[in-house]
Amino acid sequence: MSASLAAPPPRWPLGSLAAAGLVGLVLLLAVFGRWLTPFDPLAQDLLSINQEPDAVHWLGTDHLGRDVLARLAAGARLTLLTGVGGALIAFGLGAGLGLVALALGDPLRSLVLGFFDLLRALPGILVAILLVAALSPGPGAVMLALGLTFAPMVAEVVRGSFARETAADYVAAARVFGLSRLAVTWRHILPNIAGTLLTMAAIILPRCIVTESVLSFLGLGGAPDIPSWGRMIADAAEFAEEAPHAVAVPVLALSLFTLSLSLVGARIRSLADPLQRAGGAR
Amino acid sequence: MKDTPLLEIENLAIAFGTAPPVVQDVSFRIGLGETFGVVGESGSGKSLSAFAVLGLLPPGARVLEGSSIRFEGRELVGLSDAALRPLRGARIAMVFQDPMVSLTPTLRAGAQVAEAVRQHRRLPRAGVRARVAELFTEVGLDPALAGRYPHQLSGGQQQRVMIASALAGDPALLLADEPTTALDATVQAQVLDLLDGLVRRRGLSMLFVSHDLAVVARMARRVAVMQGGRLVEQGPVGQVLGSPQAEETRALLAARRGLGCAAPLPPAPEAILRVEELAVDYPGAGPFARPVRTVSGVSLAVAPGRVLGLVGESGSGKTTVAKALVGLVRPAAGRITLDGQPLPTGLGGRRQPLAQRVQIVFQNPYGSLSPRRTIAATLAEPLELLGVPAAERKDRAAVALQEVGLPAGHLARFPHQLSGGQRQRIAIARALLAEPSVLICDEVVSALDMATQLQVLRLLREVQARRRLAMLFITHDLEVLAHLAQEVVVMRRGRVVEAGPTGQVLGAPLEGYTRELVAAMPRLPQADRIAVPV
Amino acid sequence: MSGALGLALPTLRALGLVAAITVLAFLCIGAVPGDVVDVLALQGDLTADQQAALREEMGVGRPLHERFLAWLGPALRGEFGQSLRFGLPVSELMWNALPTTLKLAGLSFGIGLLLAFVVAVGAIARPRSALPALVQAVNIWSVAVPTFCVGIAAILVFSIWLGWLPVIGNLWVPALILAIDRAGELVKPLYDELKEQQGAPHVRAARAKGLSAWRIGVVHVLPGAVPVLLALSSVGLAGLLGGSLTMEVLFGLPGIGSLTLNAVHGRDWPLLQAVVVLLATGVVLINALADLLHRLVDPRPRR
Repeated sequence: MSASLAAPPPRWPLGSLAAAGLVGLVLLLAVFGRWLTPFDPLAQDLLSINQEPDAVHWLGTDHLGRDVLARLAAGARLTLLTGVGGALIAFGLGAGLGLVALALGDPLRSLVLGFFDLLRALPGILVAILLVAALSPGPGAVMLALGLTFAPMVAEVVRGSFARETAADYVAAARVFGLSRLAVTWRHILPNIAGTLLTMAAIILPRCIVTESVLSFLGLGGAPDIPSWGRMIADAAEFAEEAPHAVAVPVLALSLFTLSLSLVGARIRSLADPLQRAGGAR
Repeated sequence: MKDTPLLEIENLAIAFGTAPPVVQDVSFRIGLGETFGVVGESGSGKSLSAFAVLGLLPPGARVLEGSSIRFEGRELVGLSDAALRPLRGARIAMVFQDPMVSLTPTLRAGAQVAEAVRQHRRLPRAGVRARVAELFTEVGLDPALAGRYPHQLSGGQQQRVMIASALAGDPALLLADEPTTALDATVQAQVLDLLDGLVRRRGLSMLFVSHDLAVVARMARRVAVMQGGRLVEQGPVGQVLGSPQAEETRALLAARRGLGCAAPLPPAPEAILRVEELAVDYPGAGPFARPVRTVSGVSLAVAPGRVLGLVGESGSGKTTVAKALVGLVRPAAGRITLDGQPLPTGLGGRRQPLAQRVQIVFQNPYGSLSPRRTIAATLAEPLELLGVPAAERKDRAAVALQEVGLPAGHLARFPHQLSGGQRQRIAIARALLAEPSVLICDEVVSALDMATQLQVLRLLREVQARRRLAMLFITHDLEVLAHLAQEVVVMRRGRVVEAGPTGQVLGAPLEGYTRELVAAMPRLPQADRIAVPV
Repeated sequence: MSGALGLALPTLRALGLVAAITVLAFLCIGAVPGDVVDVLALQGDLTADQQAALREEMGVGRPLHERFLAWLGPALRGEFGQSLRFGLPVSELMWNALPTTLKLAGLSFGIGLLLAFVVAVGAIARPRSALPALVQAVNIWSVAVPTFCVGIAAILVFSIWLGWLPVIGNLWVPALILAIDRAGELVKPLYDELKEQQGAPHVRAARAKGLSAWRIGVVHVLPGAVPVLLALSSVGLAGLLGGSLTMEVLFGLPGIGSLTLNAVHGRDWPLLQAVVVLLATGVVLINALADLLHRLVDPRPRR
């Protein structure tokens, strides 16, 4: 093991800092976006269709003359809410229910894991499509569909980490003191797999957001009147030759946002872990 | 010593990157047909020095300038991997510490020897097969085992396969890096016999590296002692062990010899923990397979203030017994009583004061503490379960640390900031905070260095005597056992084969297996005639 | 593991999984509000009487369990009925769409695997080159940049701004996009595993025998990385099927993905049901194959 004599790396390197800034920007856009432009995201202005970005319409207008910035802000709200909601459901089911089932053991364990196995036997996007179709489109349905689509991924990771941690003697020691299975899971196993869960969150949340966009793009998204990024892309794609910016803006927003989320997630994970923070090897 | 040394190492120094060297000023010679021993604790640089000969240092490590390794008069330092390759396996071969992980798991045993054969000789297919069979026979293996995968072989068989592939190129020098450390005592004795025989028959020279003075003394005529990356002393075995010059050698000898025998005590008072006819099943492989009985018919009893040793080799079921006693596995049959009252089996019904009075300390100090909790949080847990108010827990934890010889400042630390010995002390403190009447120690020192072992054993003995604990001490090490236990139970393959007072069982074993165990115990030559100043 | 039992159990499990998904999908699809007649009614003018007659003819008005039983019998013989929307046998529609999807998924998997393998092995063999950095970069790209966005960006850039050949209908562009994504998911775990294997004691022991670097790599290092690769590949192939569904729609390819979307929008339940069963069977088969290969390569019993 070589002790590095160089200065310790900065807590937030430039790339992560930029990513964090971008995530913050999108959050601000989602919350305060409606006061950013005077335009209504739904208002059509057929006299100024397909306009390039200028001083009035900062990000231009689409094929119906709607303000792209206003729509981007409105879409950010919906996309973020559905994505975060979906990720929360995925974690509630995959990690919450999964851990309880693992802690309590059979028959609950087999039942819950079997259910997740079932969901995993279909491509994720197909599960989402089926569920949204069955639940009748709407933000709630999309959230639930996202949750059910990604819960098996979370559960699989939780299962692996749980097995690894339960094999350790510290779990046995806690049980010998008389701690119940649930208490051991809550107090000892959860803190030790929290880092893994955080990593997972940094993977799942962007995926939820993208999947929401794909669903809206396919016409299976939330409410048809509120613009989401996916719907903006779908709408503008047909007129990409006349107004490429109307496609490029939401596509860029979506890719940069998911990229930033992943980078920020990775950074937070390494900062939050006492083992990595102290630079100790495990 | 012979006139022309086969291997001549001078001023060997090894460093990782730009860090200070981890090996320095190491010089020794090995003559033709000579076995040279290198002994030292883990981290002393002894294995690295052996790896350096064949250019097998781990990534990042390099031999520093000014070092010299001459083999048959030829300088090896500075040679490229390609230039060293013709020597590897052909003139110099190596046997590694842990055969389980040193054999490639996806390759059959025969194939692993065959590839070494083909590397050094052009032979037709049938010739290779015959040669492999020959080598298997030479190392005492049935050639029929060639078709097995490593995981289908026992530890001793695996190490014999390693040795066979090392012999395939008819080397002049064998580097043996802790070749028996991972093996049980009886198997260790057999493998040492095998190596001894090979050296004589083939006229091999051998560099034998080990942490165990007794093993080195048995194999080598001359020995070097390494400590902290430096060679502190070398000479004939009798001289180095008999009148050690270096402080470090004396410390090493003291760690080995500091273990006296437990004093016989007056007849035991009434036993507090009794186990009668205990049996444990493990589920078989596959859902329809029958459970496998791993432990059966085990009976034992421990009295307050006494230590009962439970000894056996790996797979004997001794750890399973420990787990059954604390409720981590559910016994299939038998009775466990504490103070005459039956203990609930399994952990389900254990949330009661009675059960907590049986506590356990585990073997591996690296796994037994929750990595992301501070020591304070770890020690507060038993107190909380005993109903100690939150305000008092920290003080009680500090007192507990003191009892195991650690400063209260360690409370704020995480386990990875502590050494193995310190962690094991904390595991002991945690068990003691539950105010147990019975303490089970499962191989608690086997993962530690000799010197640390001695300290932890002293601590355990002291605590046990002061608290009048009934202790069940599980170990594979007869010397450690003799040090602590007044009585002993010997287990083999899930059954008790012999039980009785320690002196009697070890001094005049009745059963064949116990005799084998005692005979396999590595001993220093003329152990009692060497005076060790401490 | 005893041979017969060891094979029978996974097979039973796989069959059970497909059966359970079939039922679940049926329930799901049964719960979809509206039916094919509603959709047709929107497109052409249909009187209420005509709608009722159509429902009767297609059997969409009957209770779910009756429909399921009526569907199950022929389905077990491989007949999935008529598409309500296209009026063609479902199996014919799927048969026509399948090659596109298989080509897309197969191409991207093959290229992705090759790419991941070359980069990972290269990064191990040349640690001082830019390849280890490439491992990280491709990995971050794949984790963080959605293929959906890359697809649209590719259409924008190639078709519209650069005015190159029409990208719509082209198989290679989406295949490459998916391949890079797949490579990114495979390359990092593969690299990590190879690195760990390379430093493993058995590899040091192999070096001590004087074996060539080539032999050590192929015989002693690579087999150890196969389980990781197989596990990732089987998960990845399922994901790839999903990814190709989106790509087909995006690039206007007439594959299973486009078919699925048509079926959902047209409430064409026999078609949708058949697609679900087909894909579930596909995923289960892939997993079974990966499991079998794992057993062949790694003789150790599974934990």
